[in-house]
Amino acid sequence: MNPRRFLYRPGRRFPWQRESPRPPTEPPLDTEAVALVEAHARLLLGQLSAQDERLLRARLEARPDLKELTRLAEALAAAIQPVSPEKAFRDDLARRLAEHHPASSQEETLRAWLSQAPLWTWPVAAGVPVMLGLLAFVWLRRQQVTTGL
Amino acid sequence: MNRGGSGRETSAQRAAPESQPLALPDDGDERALIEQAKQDPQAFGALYQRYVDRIYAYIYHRVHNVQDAEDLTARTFVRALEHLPRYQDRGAPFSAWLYRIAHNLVANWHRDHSRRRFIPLEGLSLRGRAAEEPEAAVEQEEEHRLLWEAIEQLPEERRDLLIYKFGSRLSNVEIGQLMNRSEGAIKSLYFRTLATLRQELRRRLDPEPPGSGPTSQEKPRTTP
Repeated sequence: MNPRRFLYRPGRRFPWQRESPRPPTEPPLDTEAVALVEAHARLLLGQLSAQDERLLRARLEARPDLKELTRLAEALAAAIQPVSPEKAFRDDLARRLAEHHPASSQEETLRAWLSQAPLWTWPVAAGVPVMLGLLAFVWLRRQQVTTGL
Repeated sequence: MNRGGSGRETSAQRAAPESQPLALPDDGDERALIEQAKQDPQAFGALYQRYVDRIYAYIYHRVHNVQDAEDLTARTFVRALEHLPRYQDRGAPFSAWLYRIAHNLVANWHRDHSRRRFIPLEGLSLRGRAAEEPEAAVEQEEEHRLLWEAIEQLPEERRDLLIYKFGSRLSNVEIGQLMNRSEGAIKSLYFRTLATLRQELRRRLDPEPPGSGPTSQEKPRTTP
């Protein structure tokens, strides 16, 4: 190995200083397109005034490349409708929460574990200390054999 | 297909009034409520009333059925109540904490139900139209199903963004607070999400014929 290879020269990076290859980055966005699509989403959500709506539609006319995206946004707005729970459920849950007495965290954790743990985990859990004891016993025996005690 | 509790869906999945953004409450007021609720669990009711709708909407759009949405919403608030004494205000809104709890419960739910991946009909918002124009309704149902299947393929962050935006009607600022990003970043993410979704839908609608793998120019570069 030639030690000169590792002599410092200004600006030189040693092998351990070299950066790993960067992950591929997403291409830069067309800022006008981002703004128009965002404004269109606000229009779909009813958050745009009539005047702004006219302006937006005029600008979208000039950008036919965004037509597909705006149609997709319309389909999304139709598919992801706001929903709210039934009043009976709301009231019932409010009552249950008001009557709820928070348990201590350990108690809650234990209860959750007991309620979720399947039955087969019990013998496994009980077997772990036994196995550890056996391993310790075997290890001690081996130590005694190798040291001649 | 899960149709559990189908008799309740039509009335339960009520669309919230249009153009009603769910504005985040005043920070100071909220902090006072949280502190009060830490001392007195009865005061938690005000926080519950404030957030139950948006948490329910988020969960509903992730699980697509009313029964599980109600169950997970209840568990979210019970867990929040249990852990409220240990809640620390780190600058993010309280709703971000609730959404995080809901998100974890939904993730567990998906893990437990991973064998039955489907988009049930009840999530497709077609109730009024079905009786009037059955053919158009069926067509739209299919379109929504396809769309939801594509949404389910999106990365979690992008899927959540769409649900926050359209399902909970949150503003970009509010979504930014929940996702710990700037307003501008949320706008860009929304644009990228739409572009990705369009690609995914194209792929689903126009799948490549079998055997037409990538050409030599399209093959991904592999590093030795």
